[in-house]
Amino acid sequence: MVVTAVILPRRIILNNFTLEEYIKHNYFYIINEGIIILAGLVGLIHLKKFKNTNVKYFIYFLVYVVFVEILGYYRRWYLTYDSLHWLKEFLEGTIFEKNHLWYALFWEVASALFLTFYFYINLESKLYKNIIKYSLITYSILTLVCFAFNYEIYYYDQAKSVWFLSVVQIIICTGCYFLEVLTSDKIMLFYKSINFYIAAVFFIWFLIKTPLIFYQVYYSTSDWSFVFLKRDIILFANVLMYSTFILALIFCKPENQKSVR
Amino acid sequence: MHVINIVLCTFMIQSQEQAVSTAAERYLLIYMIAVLVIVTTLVIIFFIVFQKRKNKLVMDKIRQQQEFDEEISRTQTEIQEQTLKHIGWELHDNVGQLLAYASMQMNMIAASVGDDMKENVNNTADVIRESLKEVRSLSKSLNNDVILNIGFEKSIANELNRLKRMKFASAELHIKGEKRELENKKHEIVIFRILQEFFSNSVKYSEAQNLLIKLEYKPDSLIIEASDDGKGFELETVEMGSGLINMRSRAKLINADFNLFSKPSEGARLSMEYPLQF
Repeated sequence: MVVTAVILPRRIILNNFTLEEYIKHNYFYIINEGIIILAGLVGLIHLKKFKNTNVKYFIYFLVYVVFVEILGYYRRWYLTYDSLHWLKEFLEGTIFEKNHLWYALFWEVASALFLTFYFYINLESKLYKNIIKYSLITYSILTLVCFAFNYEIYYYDQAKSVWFLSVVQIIICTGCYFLEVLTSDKIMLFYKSINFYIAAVFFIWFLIKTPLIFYQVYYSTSDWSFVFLKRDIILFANVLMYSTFILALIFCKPENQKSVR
Repeated sequence: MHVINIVLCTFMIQSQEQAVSTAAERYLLIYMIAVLVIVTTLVIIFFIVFQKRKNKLVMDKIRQQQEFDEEISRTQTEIQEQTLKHIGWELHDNVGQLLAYASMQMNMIAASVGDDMKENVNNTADVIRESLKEVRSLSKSLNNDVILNIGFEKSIANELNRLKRMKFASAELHIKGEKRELENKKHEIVIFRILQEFFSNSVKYSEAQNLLIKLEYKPDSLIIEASDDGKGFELETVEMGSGLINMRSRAKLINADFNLFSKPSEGARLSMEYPLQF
């Protein structure tokens, strides 16, 4: 119980409700954060197994995601804990008052950059490496331009442009990986490779999340059925993604590959 | 006027309200995500099943090929054994009988010639007797029934004695550990034939003076080492004759670990590890 209270800064609710009611009201946070932290832990447990492969960078990324997720709730933290009240005064009225920019920077852009790096070091074909390299340059420039001209949007919403650029970049990276697997001998045992599951699940996750951006206009207190639906879709996508990572980390064997080339 | 006011007010309230999603829109969203997940999962599962099935077929084919190759080399060994046996019989029954007859004749001649010729005749009789002995021991080493009968250690000892008489200064057999029977008697013959191949290479090419065979019985394996002190050869550059290839494929047939070491002017050494239990 202590753990959940630390993860989910909803102490007021916890004090007034029974455990069952607390879980019923907060199942999203419990399952969502729980599976992300579990993925990070499983990654650290299996770090030794993948020590000599590039998978270790992916495990570092999973641990990084845990911190991004926990710290991403900073608005909740300072609204719940009086001792963090200074943070509220500090952030009120700035672009950081809501956490849209936080997630845009540390999740959307960071995951696109990480996947670019990860598949760049895992791919062998010069052509695909070059495609990824130049698309990264294009992506960086376009994202910077979007941030520069569109940053006001982060006061109240997430920017569609940055999201789409990230999705395109991720599709290019995973697509190059799939193409290389298809055209090489790796196809023989692709289902034993952890990289395949990483690529496939990131691919699906971003495809699931993208239509939610179109529906963002409905995300308000006047449309509770959509708010709940969106929450459940996000929960489903996250559980799908992180449970695949957990299973892949447990069951996949490290491949014989050199570290960063 | 009043009515218009009310209509205007309602309109303003409606336009201020946030947009609300319809049930149809939400169902479309759910449906789309479900389709996406199902289709991707199906594609992945299809690929995995296809690939597994294909790999299994390929493995089966490789296994069949291996079995075929093994069968061929087994047949080859059998044919070889048959031939050797046949030659062994011929040597024993044919050449051996002729030499025995010649030896008898020489004895008769020796009794009837004068003293001046006696030494010569006796020398010739000795040579014929020696030849007879050689032919008999050679026929023994060629016949696998004999090897099975007297055991392969004894056969190796016989073979070494024969070689010593023929060419070498010393040919020794060292046995370590407690002697045990091999489970498969046929493997004794295979090991013996590998060693024979090694000896014949030593005789033909190495100009070696000394031969040493070590048999070491370990709890779960038999280690066989054979070495000579001849001129040796470069492993990389030597032309793999049928002898070397035969030794290797025979060792593989009985699941033994086969290693051959040699360097110019350092002799050759063969070591085999034969598992005593499977």
